[in-house]
Amino acid sequence: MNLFEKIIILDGAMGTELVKRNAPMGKIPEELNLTHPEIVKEIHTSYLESGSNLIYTNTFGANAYKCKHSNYSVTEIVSAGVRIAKEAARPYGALVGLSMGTIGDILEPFGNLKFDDAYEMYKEMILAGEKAGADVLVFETQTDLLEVKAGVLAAKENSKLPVFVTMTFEAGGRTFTGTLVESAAITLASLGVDGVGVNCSLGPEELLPFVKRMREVTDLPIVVKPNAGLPDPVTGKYAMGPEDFAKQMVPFLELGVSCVGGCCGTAPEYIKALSSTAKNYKPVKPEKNSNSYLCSSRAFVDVKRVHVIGERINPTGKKLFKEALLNHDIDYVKNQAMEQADGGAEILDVNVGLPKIDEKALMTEVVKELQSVVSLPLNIDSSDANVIEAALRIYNGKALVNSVNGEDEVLDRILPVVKKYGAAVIGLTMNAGGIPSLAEDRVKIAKHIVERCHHYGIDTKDIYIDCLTLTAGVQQKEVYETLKAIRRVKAEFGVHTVLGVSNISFGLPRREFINTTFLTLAMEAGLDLPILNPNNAAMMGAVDAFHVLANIDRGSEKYVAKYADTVAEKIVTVKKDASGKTSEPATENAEKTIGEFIKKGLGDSAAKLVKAMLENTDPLDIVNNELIPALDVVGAEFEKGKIFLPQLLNSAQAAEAGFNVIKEHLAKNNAATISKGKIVLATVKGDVHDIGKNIVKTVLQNYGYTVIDLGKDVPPEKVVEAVKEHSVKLVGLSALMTTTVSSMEETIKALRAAGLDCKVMVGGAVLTAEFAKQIGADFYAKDAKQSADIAKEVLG
Amino acid sequence: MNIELDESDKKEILRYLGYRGTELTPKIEGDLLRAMDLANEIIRPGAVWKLFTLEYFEDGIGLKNTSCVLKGESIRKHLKEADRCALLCVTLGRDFDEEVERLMVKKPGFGVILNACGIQAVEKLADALQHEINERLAPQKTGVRFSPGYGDLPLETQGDFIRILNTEKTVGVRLNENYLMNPMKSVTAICGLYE
Repeated sequence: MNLFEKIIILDGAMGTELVKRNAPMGKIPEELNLTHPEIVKEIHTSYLESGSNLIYTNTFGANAYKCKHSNYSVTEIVSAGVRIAKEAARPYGALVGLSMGTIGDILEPFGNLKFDDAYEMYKEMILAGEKAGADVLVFETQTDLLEVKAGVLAAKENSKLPVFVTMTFEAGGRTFTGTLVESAAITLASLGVDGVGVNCSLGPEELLPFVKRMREVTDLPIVVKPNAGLPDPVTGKYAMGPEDFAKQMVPFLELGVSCVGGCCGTAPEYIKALSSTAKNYKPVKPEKNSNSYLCSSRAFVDVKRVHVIGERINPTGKKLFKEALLNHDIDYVKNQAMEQADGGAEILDVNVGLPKIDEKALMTEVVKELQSVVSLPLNIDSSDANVIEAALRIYNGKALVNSVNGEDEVLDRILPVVKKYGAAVIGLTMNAGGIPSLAEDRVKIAKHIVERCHHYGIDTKDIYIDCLTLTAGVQQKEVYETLKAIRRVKAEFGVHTVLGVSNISFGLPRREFINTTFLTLAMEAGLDLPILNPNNAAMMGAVDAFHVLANIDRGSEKYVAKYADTVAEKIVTVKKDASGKTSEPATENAEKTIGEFIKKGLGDSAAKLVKAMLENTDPLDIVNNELIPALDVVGAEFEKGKIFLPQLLNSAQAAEAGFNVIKEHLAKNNAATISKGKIVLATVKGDVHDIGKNIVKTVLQNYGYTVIDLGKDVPPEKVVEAVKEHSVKLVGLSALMTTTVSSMEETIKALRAAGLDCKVMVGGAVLTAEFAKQIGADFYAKDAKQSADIAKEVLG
Repeated sequence: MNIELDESDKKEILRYLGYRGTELTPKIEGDLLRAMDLANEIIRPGAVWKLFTLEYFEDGIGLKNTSCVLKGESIRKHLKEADRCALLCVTLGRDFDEEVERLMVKKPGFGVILNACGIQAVEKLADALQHEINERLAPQKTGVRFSPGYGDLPLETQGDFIRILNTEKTVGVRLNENYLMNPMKSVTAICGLYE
């Protein structure tokens, strides 16, 4: 199918035409394919008569979710839909597109729909559609990039038919779920679809800027199917007539799009007018787009300057991070991600590899959860091709993969996965023999990597070479070999480069001096993506300064915006005393108590004071004599109504800041961590409201309990599993709706059936003490404070 | 259509937070103002409505030209034999849910305030839409909003409302199998029309 040959005229609205004919709508309009095929065929014919040469089947909502109450199966409805369209199209020599709208349910983590289930539902439609003779697979009116990715993968893995994807954007160029125009085009192009575009939502005029933006980031054929404006709520009539519509479509034709048609409100007259206007135009094949993009669904990076990859989501050498992963504390990881985003990272490296951990399960969960709180593109960091594939599959956007090296065994394992999911890849210039000393040998390895990438169909624009940093303290004369290699791989292969810089200073004092200088040298040599800690002001400052000096930050605009009216923290060089301690100024808040800080919700001050106290107080004493009593006071005031919810939470967070200082102190001294016991928390199956549970979590954690948070929409078996795995003695279940209290009861039954010796506390808006007893709970917690009282009773 | 939270909404927001009239600290006062500003910034309002003629049957009240029948005594009492009704849906959009989600991890004390702002904002948005409907349909006016799950109007009715208003396409509101709306800060309702 050459989509740059001549303009393809699509059809107009199906729904609007069905309503016009008073078609008896059953549970879903797609049932008409079986109950009244003649009406559907008549509509198809009317569009073909008007000039359509690619018509869409009446199967928009014929998926398993929307058909679940129908008397017909998905296969029956889809097959009939394609059959009718084929019959109608045959005399005209026209093609048939299998129309697939959104599933209708909401994907995780915002809803309950699993990615794999969305995949299966689209697959079912695709198999039936292809078998019945569809010519093109069309995903239309899509709003969630991840959902449509499930569909595209289902298409690619089960069919050879061409794939079109059109999405529905609102004013501002984002879909209802936040997908950005550019991200949609970049991601879909990387997945290998045949046409991308826009449909529905607004009239042609409003959609034009979005199509222009798509054209900027992709060289794919473009498909456009706008509405005839908006319907009137009283009369149901659409604003725009056929001639106006055709006139407004002219700019798209001038732009050189490949397929045009109409969506809601457009009738055969509209298509007739459009088809006669389009006669005078041809599609325009754009120049090849060689920009290097990475994206999430909400943001994209066009690699033309230095972009920082945040390095902190990585357990290597970080005791607290390891512990968080083992306890399934995803919030800890989320916080690390948000802090790095706030610090100015533009891409986040994600590594969750730990011995004795299910890396694949954890990686997919972390990727999913991170994408709900940060909009930065991710760098999937693992050496296991299965882990990489699992993460790329559910990644919402175009990711970077970290990494391959010069070994064929590695390249042949990982590159096909990178290609299949349209990701970009980092190649390390090392092989079984380690890191070569000389730049020349590293360049040789880079050449091999680039060649293997090309062999697998990965374009140069998606290759990032890491020339690797050696430690200056050990291999001083090789420091410049790295810089030399960066210059050469850029010049010789046209690739981008990436480099982790902080190893350079290993073993040397005041590492920041060495690190920032090396970073600056590397950027000058052509480093595009440094991997570093974005919360380090000096390193970020070096990047920002480089952009000024290299004339990239024009007029120093960004630099000034960020640094004007700021002052540097004083850099002082203080010699250590004989004991190895630096003499620190006494804390200014010495006369205030931790209790006061916690009561006022002042986390920083509480943390400082705890730090000072640790010099001469046992950590456990600080917990038991300071932190917990302070929380008790706050809790009592909450119960009396002297303070209310936000204040309770602020105090809890202040206490958490104190706890964190103690945890870090213990981790540093290799002491066992303190925990007053483990508690499993979950919002039960079917319920996605988890604010209540999160409030309880904050409070419990800050009473010193380790909370294993299973999240929302948690099936009973998962709760049972977690209780077993962590030998937990107390479970907290939350449900907001009356409809989901039954799954709470189910979960309690499952826990009892498994014969687990644990207590269950329940809470939620619709629950009462009596009701809690009825469903078999041991405790009813009316608020977060009570949950802490219960924990104290059960766990001490 | 858009709305802004302002001074006049403070009382309601505090009520949603369980505030019982003690003195507000400057920190909480400040957080409340910041949360309202943030809410105003991130709300991506969506609103859709349609007009229907009502048909009164033995077993329920029908919306003409649809398969939707409203069951139960409460809705019958509520509509007070109105001839027509407006069906409406408003939402604050996905961004709002995401920001609350982020804040509940980062700063839960502030997160709950923003969440309460959302509850107030979506009600205010529904009020604004009703105002718009009233202007369009004058001299008739919409009565008090009634939603699925109120009284004995089955929650399942939510499915009909969402389908009839085509909310997935028009404002991006979808329903899960337990009839929960997404985005979460969304309201659907029916209002009778009266002289």
